[in-house]
Amino acid sequence: MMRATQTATLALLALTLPWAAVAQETQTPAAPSDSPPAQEAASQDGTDPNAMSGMTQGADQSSDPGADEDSPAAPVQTAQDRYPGVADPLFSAETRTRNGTPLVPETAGWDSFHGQLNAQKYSPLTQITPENVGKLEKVWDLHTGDVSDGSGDQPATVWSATPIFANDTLYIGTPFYRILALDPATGEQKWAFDTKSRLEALTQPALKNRGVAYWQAANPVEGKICQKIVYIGTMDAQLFAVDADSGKSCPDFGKDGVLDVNQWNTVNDRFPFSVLQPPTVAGDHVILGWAGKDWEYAEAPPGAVFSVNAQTGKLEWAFETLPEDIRRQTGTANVWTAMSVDLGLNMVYLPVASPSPNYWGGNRTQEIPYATSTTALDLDTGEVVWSRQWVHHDIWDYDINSAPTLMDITVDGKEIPALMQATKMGFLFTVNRATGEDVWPIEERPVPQGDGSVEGEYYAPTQPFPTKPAPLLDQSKKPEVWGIADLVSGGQCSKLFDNLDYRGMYTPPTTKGEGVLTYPDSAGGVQWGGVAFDPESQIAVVNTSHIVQYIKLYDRETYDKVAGGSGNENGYYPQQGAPYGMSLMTAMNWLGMPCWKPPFGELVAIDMHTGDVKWRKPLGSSQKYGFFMPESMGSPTIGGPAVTKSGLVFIGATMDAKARAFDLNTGEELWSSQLQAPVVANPAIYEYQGRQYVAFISGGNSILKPAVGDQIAVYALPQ
Amino acid sequence: MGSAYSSERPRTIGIVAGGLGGAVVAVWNFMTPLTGVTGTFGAGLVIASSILIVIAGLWIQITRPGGLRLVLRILVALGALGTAAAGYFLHEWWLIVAMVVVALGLIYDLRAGRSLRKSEVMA
Repeated sequence: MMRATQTATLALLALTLPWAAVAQETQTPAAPSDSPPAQEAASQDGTDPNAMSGMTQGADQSSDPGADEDSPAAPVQTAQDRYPGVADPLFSAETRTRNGTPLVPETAGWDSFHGQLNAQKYSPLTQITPENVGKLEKVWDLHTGDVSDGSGDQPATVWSATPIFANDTLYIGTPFYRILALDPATGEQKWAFDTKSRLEALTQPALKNRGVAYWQAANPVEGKICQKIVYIGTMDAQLFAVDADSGKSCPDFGKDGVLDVNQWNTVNDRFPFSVLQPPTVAGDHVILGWAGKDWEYAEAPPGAVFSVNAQTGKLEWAFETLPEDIRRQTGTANVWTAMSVDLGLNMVYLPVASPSPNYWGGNRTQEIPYATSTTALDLDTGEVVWSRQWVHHDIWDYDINSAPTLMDITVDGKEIPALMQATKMGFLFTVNRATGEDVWPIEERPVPQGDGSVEGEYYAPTQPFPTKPAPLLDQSKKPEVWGIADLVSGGQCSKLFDNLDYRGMYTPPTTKGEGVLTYPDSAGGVQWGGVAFDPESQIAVVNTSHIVQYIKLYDRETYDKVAGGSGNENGYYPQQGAPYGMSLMTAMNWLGMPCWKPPFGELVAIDMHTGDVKWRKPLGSSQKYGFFMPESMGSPTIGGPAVTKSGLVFIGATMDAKARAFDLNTGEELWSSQLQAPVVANPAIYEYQGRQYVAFISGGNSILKPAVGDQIAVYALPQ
Repeated sequence: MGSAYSSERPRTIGIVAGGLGGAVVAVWNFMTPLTGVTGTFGAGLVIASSILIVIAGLWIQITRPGGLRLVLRILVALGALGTAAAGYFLHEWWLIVAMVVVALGLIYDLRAGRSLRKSEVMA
């Protein structure tokens, strides 16, 4: 009987496979591991000093970082040491003298993607407290009907929108590129606007939308339309402007209310500038980034950010992230996620992604300082004020993928206008947002070099490591194999891990053996939800995923033989134009169980006075086939938190599709509610007619699991 | 005569009732939106296992004592255990309660069967 129980338990555990999403694609063909020892690999780094010499850094820069990189003598450097030639433009005296504006909002509002332009995801509302949050009830919910699971003719939907509250209305963008204007108290529809955009997955594996943006005139002209505007972008690179009161198109914007963003796509225009992230509206500037397809092609449109006039759509400035001389051979280094803005400093902060193709950089061995960076621009001119690169020569797809959080913090008694940039690597880089200088030291440390198997590649000898806050996960050593997954698969997991090279996070991709293990993976670390921050207690909160994947490069002939399907962050990718196609697989056993030891995701709070972790807890529950794993194992997470002055953290983000509330001071879970699909954006918190509401969009993302949703759920205390 | 396997004696009523209750809970969780397991394979699986428990209970009721009845009782025990464990992982707490009822029903069935055999020996 006991044996039967054990067998049943093991069988059940085997069924409890938490990683639906990352559906096991065709496995990499088995090959003997022949990676050389680390010392040997380090001597074959393929560094080509000549490749660094002729670089052009763009108008603002004239650095020669190659000299530093060629010298192994200084294992620990500051970024300023690394870029001596760019010290002045990046850390100018002018910017040092500016002061940031206080960032504790006086009024509650949620009129942009992250609540406020500072991306704090903070609400000063106090009606819902840790004491009464358990009484929260769903006061209305709405199904938009704009949803597809991909089983029919339409691609699946990925809905990562955060609703915005403005003009006494809740505005929401859908993955079918419609805007809904809803009564904030009842969900009753005021108006809807349909862009009638073609529902094709032109640049993404799914129909994606992250919502809408809102602008209103400082001095509205009475009786004139479009003094308040809602914007929505589309996959085919159109930006629509709609009157916020009536839902009618704004005739003065672009051409009859539509701005063709793709008109600026003139180099390597293999795919459109998909505008999936709502623009950042700062003053009368509407600032646009775009999403691309950099796993598909080596040559891709070069990263550019555009500022257009809010009422006319007329181009004000464009910022190019790639040096001009290499724009035809590489691409992207784009800004596909939210930006943040300090109106006092008159700066917009760009989280810049990696260049194309994602996992081979032989076409871009020159220094590209703005790639995988946080770059601060003058809001009016688009000129660079400062820039910090977080991954040098990124060949891991470690896009900077969330808006940096602006925060005024007190460290060692000194008030600092700070900026915290969360990354896919699980690092939280903290700098002075006026100057870009370190708050806590950020060190350049030597990192693993290639094994010599990849043609034309260059490897950065060092990468930046923050000394505080501590990494959200331990990237220094190969993750431990999860015993249960190993046991039920007959040792498949330990065999896989034994065959994967891992010498720390920046182990370069290889053609050898099973490839290299990547931890955190490109869907891990922190995603676009970013960091929430309570400006009064100075506690920062962030959710993180611990996911292990492995990458292998294939020469073109081999790739054509082995390539299978590609999914969302999982599968085979051609990298056309590069000598190598590649595969990116999640490390799972044949039953679909993750091979690495849990927790799979956590919620972490950091005391920003000290940079120390205040608490960390596994977040949510992994789920597959309906079976939930114990919450002590946590869930991979997409989406982010929001915090309130009353000491609460609201977050969805987990596979189990629950909305949750935690005590900001202790991390104790205080409330949860089941939703249709995972909430993969930050919640919105707003007050309407004296009542505080928390709104979640349950849209799902196939990175987490196949479940998709079209639900908006809004909660409040009983009246 | 013949009363040892008489269907008039409600030996397995607990098993059948627990199984039916489990099926109702499982169907409700499978069909109702926002249960967390709506439409999932796991929720469907426990519908099937609950119905199999009901069928096994009825079968025990109509079979003669012997090997088949023993096998069915073992299957009911394993089914209840597995279904309860699945209910735990599906967060279907009422399903666990239903499986406890099945387990109690099985104990009652075993005790009733033993009493019956004893009375037959006495006779």
